[in-house]
Amino acid sequence: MYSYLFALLAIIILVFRIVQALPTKKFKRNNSNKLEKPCKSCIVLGSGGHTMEMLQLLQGLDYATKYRPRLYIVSSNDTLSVKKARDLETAKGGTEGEDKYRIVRIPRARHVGESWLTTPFSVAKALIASTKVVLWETPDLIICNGPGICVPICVISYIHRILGIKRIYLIYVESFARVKSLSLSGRLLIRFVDTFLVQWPYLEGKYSQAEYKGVLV
Amino acid sequence: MSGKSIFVTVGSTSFHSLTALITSQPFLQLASSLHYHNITVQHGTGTMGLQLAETSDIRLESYDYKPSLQEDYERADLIISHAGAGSILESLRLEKPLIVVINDLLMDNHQSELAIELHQQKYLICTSVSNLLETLKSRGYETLKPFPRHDELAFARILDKELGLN
Repeated sequence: MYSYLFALLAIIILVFRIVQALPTKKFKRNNSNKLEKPCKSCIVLGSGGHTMEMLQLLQGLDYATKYRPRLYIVSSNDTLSVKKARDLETAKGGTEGEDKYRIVRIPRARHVGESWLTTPFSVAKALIASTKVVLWETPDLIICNGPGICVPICVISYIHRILGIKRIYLIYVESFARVKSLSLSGRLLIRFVDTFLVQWPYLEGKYSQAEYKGVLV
Repeated sequence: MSGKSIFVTVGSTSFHSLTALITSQPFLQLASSLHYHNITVQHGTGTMGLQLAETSDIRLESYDYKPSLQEDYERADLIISHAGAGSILESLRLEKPLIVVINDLLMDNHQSELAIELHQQKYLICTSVSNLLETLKSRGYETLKPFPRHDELAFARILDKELGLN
C-alpha cells in the first residue's frame, strides 16, 4: 500500500518537475538564465543540407569570448561534416583542443539500406552515445537544426532540468526549405526548446512557439 | 569557346527527364540562339556520360557529382536547378538568374514549396520539364529580383540576446 502511494507521489513530483522545466514566455523575459561566463556550446551537425545551414548560422558567432568551448556532434561516418566544421574553426581562428573545440562522433542511427532487424540495435547505440555526451559534457547551450539525432539529444538534456542541476538552453532553427510545414524533428521539439526559429513568416503564424526573424542562412 | 554559360544541377539523385531535355536538339538550338554556348551538367547517379545531339555549336561538360560545385555556380550566367534548398540558396546568394525545374516524379515534394514561394516573390522562375523551353524563350529570368544578402550576424544577435550575452 505504502509503496503504491510512494510511487504515485514520485510520479506527481516528476510530472510537476517536467511541467516546470518546459519553456515559458515568462522564463525568457526575466532572463534568469543569464550567463556570466563563456557558454559551453554543443552543436549538432546532420548531413548535407543541415550541415550547410548550420555552418551559415555559426559564422557570425563570437567564438573567442562568448561561445567556448564548442562540441560538434557528428555521425561517425559523416566525414564531410567533420571537414566542414574544421574548416569553419580554422577560418574563425580556432585550434582543436579541450578548451577550444572538439568533434564527437556518435554511431549513425540507421545506415542506408540497413536491415530492419539490426536497426533497433543501431538506434540504441546512437542513443546511448548521445546520452553519454550530454550527461557528461553538460553544455550550457545546444544548437540544432533538424537532423534526427537532435531529438534524443534535446530530450536527454531535460534530465538536468528535471533534477534541477542545470538549465541547458535549447535553440532550434528550422530549415530554410520549410515554408508551410515543420519537419518531423521540428514538430517533435517545438514545445521543448527555449527558442524555436523559423525562416518563413507563414510558420510563425501557424505555430505559436515559432519565431520568425528573417532568413538566417 | 566564347559565349555565355549555363550550369545545370540535379542534386545527388537523378533527374532523367531533365538531363534528356538539356541534351536534346530543340534545347540546344534555343540555348545557342540565346548565345549560351557552354553547358555544364551535374547529372547525378544512374546516368552515363551525356552525349550531345549532333551539329551543335555548344560545348558540353558533364559529371555525376563532385565535392564542391562552387566553381560551376560562379562561372554560370544562368543556372537550371532541381528544387533542392541547397542549390537554390547557393544560386540566390550568388545573384545568378535561376530556373528551378520541379520533378513531378518525387511524390513527397515539400521542397517544391520553397521554389514556388520564391517564384511568387520573383527571386527565381519555377517550371516543369515540359515547360522549360517556353520558360527559357520568354527570358523572364533576366528580370528577377536580387535575393537579400546573407546577414552573417543575424543569428548571433538573436542568440546573444536570448542568453543575455550582450
